[in-house]
Amino acid sequence: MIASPRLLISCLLTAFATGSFAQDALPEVKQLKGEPLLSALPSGAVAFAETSGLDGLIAALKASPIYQTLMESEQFKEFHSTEEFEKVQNGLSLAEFILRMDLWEAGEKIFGGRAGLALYPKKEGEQPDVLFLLRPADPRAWSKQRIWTDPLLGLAAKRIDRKRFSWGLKAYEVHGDGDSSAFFALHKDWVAFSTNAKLLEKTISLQIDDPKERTRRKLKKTPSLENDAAFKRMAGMVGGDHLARVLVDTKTISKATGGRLGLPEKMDNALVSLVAGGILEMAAQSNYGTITLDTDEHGIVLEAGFDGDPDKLDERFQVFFSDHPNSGPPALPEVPGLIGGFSIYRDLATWYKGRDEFLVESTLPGFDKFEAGVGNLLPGKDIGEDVLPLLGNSVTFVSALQSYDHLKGEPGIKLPGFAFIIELEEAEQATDIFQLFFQTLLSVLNFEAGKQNRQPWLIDVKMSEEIKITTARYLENPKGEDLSIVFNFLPASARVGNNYIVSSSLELCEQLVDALAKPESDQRIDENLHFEVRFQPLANILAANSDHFEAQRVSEGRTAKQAKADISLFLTIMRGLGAFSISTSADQDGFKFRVTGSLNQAK
Amino acid sequence: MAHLLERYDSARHGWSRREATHLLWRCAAGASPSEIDRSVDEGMTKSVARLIDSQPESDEFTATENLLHRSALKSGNINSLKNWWLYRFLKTANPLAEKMTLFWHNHFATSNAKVRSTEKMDVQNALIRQHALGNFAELFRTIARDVAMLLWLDGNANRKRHPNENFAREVMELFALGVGNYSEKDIKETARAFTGWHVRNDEFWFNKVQHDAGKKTILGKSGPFKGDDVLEIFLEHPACARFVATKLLAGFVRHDPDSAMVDALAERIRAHKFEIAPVVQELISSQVFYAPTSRRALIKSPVELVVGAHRTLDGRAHLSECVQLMSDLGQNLFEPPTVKGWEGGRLWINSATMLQRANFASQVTGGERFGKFGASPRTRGSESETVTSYLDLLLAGSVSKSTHQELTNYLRKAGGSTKEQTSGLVQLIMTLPEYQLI
Repeated sequence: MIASPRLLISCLLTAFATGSFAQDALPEVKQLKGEPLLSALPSGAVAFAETSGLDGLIAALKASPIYQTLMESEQFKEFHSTEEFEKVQNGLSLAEFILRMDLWEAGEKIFGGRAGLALYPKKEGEQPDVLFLLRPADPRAWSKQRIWTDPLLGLAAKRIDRKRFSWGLKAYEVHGDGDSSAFFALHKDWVAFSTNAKLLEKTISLQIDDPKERTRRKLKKTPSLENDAAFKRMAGMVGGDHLARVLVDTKTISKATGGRLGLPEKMDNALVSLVAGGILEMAAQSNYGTITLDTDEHGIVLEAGFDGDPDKLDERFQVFFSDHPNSGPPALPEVPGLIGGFSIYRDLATWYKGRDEFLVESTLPGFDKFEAGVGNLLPGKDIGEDVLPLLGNSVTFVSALQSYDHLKGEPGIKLPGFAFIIELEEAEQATDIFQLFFQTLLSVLNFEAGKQNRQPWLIDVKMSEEIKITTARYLENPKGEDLSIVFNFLPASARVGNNYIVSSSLELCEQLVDALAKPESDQRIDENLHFEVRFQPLANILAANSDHFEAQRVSEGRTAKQAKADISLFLTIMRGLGAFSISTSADQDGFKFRVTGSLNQAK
Repeated sequence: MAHLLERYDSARHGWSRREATHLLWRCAAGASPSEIDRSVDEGMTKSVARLIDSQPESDEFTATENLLHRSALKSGNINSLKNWWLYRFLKTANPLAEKMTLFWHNHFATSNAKVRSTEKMDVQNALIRQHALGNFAELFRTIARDVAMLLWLDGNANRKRHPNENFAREVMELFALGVGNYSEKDIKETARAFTGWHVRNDEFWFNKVQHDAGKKTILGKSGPFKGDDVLEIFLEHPACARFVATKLLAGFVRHDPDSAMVDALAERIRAHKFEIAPVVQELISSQVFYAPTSRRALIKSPVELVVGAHRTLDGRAHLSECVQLMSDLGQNLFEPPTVKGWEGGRLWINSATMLQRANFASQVTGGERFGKFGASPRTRGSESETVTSYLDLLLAGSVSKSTHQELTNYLRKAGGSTKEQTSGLVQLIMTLPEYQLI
């Protein structure tokens, strides 16, 4: 986006490194430090990003066990001896020499304050102008740089408007490639940079609260971004107290990019359409979008969203959204060793029938192949007419650790069990269809097993909590410590109320039957999609297969010892993590996307 | 005829880096500078003995090889098993045994493309390795009952009332006698003898009910022969030793051995009662092996190309990428293209594979796709001496004066660091036609 990234980087580095401030204090400079920067940047931007108080995060990162583990690892020591590290180290050493402080400290003292970046549109086809404002957490640290960096600044940049910008405030111009220039202003309390001189002037004006001071410097009073209706609304929605926030005027960007934010009306990927079709349509019609990043006592939280109302979208997009409240998909059932999964609301039948309205022409033949393939497993049935209408509006997928009681031994590669829980509209009919599918699939798999001299499956029935579970068992229970990977699978299916479970593991199916039999399983989450991963059980399954991963690392050129250390480090880091989740929701207030990540709290 | 296999008199004819490199490239698919130095110091007899006799493996090799092997069997992934085998080639202290394992894998060609079982291919590979420098007769008897072999050659389809000739034909044509040493009737009768040689519960099973116990006449002999009896008939036939001799000469000496050479070696095979180790020992100690007409008379197979580069240039291979490269060059381990195996020779080289060999050279010297190479630059006093040093390392012999001059000119004009210059030189040498030969 920036016309000359090199120019930008060199200017930023120069600005950071210099901080040439006047000895004299400026009278009545508006103390904006600590205040959100929307009021400190001129109006007219299409996007604005701000960070605040990153010093806490930087300090936490440095003190974190994960960081310590990485720094003490053999892998980092190996990286130490490479040419790439030497180059990076030289660059960092130079920066520390110029800054006269260690970079961690510089990060805390510089980014501990507030930093804001805004983009301003230019003529069509031209790159937007950039404006950057930084208010360091500790301005005193800046003043210490002047002695070392003033001479450097004289070499790198040309001082401009000496009469206006003197006495505690200096402005500079740096020439880049071709005709491009960049401008920056240095004050004892802040640094501003822009690719546009007028923008810089307006920004300087906004930092000066005293009208007399503005007059003396021939600066006009200028409206700030805070006054722009879109940003005012967005700021009101998200608030000012975030580690980072991004506000985007999507309506203006859409106009500049030919509408719809450049998003196509139809997708060329069926999965993207199914998962995100409605969201992308809301985004294409939105007026603004926001992102915020915070930490809480559990970990990190990223929230994004844009305005809109799914009810106001075209009728066909209603397949992607649940009716609020409490009609979202069910929560993930709690089963022992749950690794994670997702739960999603989708009117799959309607989406499938109307797929040519969501997907480009070139993807449609794929569905014909899919139907032909599924047709072999559902003799006499059409998936669009006979199967999908029997389904409800939510699907849940779970994955969990499994034991191997069905074997006299264990598979060499251990996989988790996984299952789909499909909500049914017509439970009895749907159950028969799924049974037919299951039966036919097993027959096909047994043909293959026969060709490869593997154990075939026999259909069997078990009862659990008065629920009938259809499963398959091996003709002879395989024996051995490193059995084939196929022995991770013991397919099972069951219907519990209006839910149909299809599982790769009988054990998981039984656990899900227990979980779904509980009254609380009827509860719905107020979300459209929920995805979750729990790192402890995930680390357990990866550890159970660690020698396989070590072998892969050896295949990539590592020695056995190095491979072991690599996997060990990876697992240590993974065990330091808690959980990760993504959830989405949409209502008349707009669309929300939320990502959370936590560390392992166990001692 | 015996004189063709007379011992090479290294004291008289010389034992230099050229001879040592020739021996190690032919028997170990390459060697590091220190290994060549050791061979020069030890002399021919000890160098040959070191190749023939079993050497102890290092702890690191054993640990890594076990890890890769275990992972391949656990996952059932044939590509992982290929990685394992390539690792053995690269790091084993017994490279000749590994070469012979590949040699017999090609001879008793069996492909996972049809067998579709990593475990069964591994069992066959272990069986071959066990007998690689052992007794051919024993290997022949054992592999005829190997499950992967029977699946590959449709053993279970061979039944009393419908004998399947596939197994019989391949045993005679490709494993024991060679084309022209049997008749169609012999094939039909042999097929009858092998009826009932089936696989059941993943094991060899002699299905008596499906065996044709009647009288057969095979290669002039008559009797109610079973499969094992037929194997003995083949082993006793003069064509068998000649067939094995032809293969060994093509693998170690030249692609087109003449009849006299074949007869000489066949006589030694019979004298040693099909024990391969002493036969190979004599062969790689013989005049014919070191004769000028035998130097650079073989085209490097993809395995020899990849393994050789890593051994010579101290490489740590990216096994998966190297396995894929070898497959792209026409040698997919555990998956020979047909029952005839990899025919090799001139068929390794065509316009597409030459380009891929050149790309390999480029990556070896300037990239990391196939692994990391740690050999230090071998600069000498002058550019010409440096070129000679690298030619000694990479080629078992010299090049023409004009080629040498061109390489020297390159080095003179090349910019960059010493490492960059020598990398460029190595790349040029690796793309020479001479480099494709051993």
